[in-house]
Amino acid sequence: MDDATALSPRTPVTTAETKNVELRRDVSVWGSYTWGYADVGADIYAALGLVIAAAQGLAPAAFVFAGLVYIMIGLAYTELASTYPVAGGGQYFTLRGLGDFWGFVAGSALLLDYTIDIALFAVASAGYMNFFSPWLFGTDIGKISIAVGPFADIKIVWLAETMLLIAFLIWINIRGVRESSLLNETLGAVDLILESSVVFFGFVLAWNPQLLLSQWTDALQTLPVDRFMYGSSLAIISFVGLESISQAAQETRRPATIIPRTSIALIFTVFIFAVGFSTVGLGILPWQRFAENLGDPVAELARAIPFLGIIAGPFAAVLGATILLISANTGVMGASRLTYSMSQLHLVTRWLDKVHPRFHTPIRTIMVFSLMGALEAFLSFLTPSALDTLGNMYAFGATLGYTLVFISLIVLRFKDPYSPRPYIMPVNLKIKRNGRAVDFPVFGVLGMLGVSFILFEVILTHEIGRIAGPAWVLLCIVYYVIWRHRNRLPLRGNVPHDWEQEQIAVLTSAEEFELLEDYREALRRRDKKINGSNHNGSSVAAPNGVHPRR
Amino acid sequence: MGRRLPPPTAFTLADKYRLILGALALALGVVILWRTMQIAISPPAVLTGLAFIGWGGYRLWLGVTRLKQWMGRKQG
Repeated sequence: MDDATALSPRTPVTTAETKNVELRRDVSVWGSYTWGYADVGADIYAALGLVIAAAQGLAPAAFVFAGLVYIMIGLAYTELASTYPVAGGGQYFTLRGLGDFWGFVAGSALLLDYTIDIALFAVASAGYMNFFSPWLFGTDIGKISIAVGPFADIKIVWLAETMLLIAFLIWINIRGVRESSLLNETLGAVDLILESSVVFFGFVLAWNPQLLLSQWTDALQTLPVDRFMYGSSLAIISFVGLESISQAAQETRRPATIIPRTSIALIFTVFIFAVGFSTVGLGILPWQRFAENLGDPVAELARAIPFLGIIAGPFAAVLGATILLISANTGVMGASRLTYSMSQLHLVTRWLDKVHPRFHTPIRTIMVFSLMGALEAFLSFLTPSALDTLGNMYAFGATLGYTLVFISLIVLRFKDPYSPRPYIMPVNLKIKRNGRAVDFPVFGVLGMLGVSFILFEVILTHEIGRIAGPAWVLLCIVYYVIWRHRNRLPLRGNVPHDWEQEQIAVLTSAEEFELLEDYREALRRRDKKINGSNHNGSSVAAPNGVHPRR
Repeated sequence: MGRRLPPPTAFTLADKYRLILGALALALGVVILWRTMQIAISPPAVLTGLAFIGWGGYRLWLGVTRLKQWMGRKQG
């Protein structure tokens, strides 16, 4: 989700080569929560139909499976974002944990997701706009299609609407028009109220447990395992957007105190709504209705609620179209932030940091990645289902990026035990290594296995994602090798970084003075120990609970 | 682990929202369980009902705790 403090428009990125970006820290607890919710909570508008169409009556189980993995991803992001409150997100964590190359791979996976984000949410936003077309034009214009050569069913109007929306996003981002944080907070809050109302009144007024049970039983008997795997891997897209936790971390005052609270509340809210929507949906409508209305499933569901449906349906459509468009904008903004962070870390060229002479916005990243999103949207309309194809790609990028984040979380517990961790993922095993007791994250390992399994499902069942996703990453790696070679930077090694000074600067800017003292004290003790001056045998405790062996 | 937030200086709209949402979620969880027991028991319905009860209970507890902290601060 973009904020008034976001990178693109008129922020001091103007001379990227000489100035550092300083994002203003003025996001409150409620702001941080609604910011995340407007981003992650919007995913269900796109994912509900896709997952139910794939997993049918077992959709709630698909959401639960993906959701449990997502909870662990969320907890991992909470730990990392409160430890390293910088906007680079997954790419930054991976670079710190695994080095430049893997940091670049994580960055390329997340860049893929940002471009898909632009395409997928622009397509979905147009889908919700088309909810009104039967009343306005007497027909559903989203279903008007043409045949061109081997492509028999190109939904031409829907495609044109999508392209217009992406052009609009490019325009507002180049001009530097931003959503205000107030708009984000308001939309996040309205969305929460609408989703709560649909779920609440749906269960109370329209939900039929018999219908849910019969669809569940039918799917258990007839649904092939690979369709369920496909559905559960698509369900991960209803939880994508956790990068916003890192972005919020950079813009939140005292992030170490606020981020764990708000992000944990956010994680569980999104999870319960995803499971609630699928359970109430399959108790109100047959799964085929969702499959027929992939473009606006939440509006279809809201419309089916007695008494309220006549208002709730159109309201959900308007809100869905708006919030999805803002989510698409997240892709434009996220790509700018990510490439800026990557260029600062010597992973990509600084050519991308160039800003518009008049509007002072990062025009090259906006153009390059938005046009890439437009191309992906165009190509997806050549396939039988644009949303499904884009969901395929999205799932690949997300699961690859998250797998690397989990590995980094585990590695960083050993590699950087001195950075204070205001929040640590629960369930840890104390193990001893190099004279220190380290908290080994059991949930981190479970999460890594879970997200790796979903990545495996993606490769196994996503016909397009398993080819296009790895092809994108390979192309990026080719670029990385050429660019690093030309600039005489190490290919397999790392560019030297002074992480300790950077951590001190980050904590100072975050006004986390208590943590800063903890960090300095931990470093002092470490240095003493290294220099052999600490002979008194006392325990040296790092702020994250790492103790040297006595 | 998590750092404690200082006691709230005001009982905000967000706190009221948290309390109301928690109470509604708790009630909804009970409704879901009751209806599924009456008509047709299915794993997703039972799970969703229990999840709403747990989540709503937690939100309610959090809201009440903050309300108590705020009242204590106001009096003290």
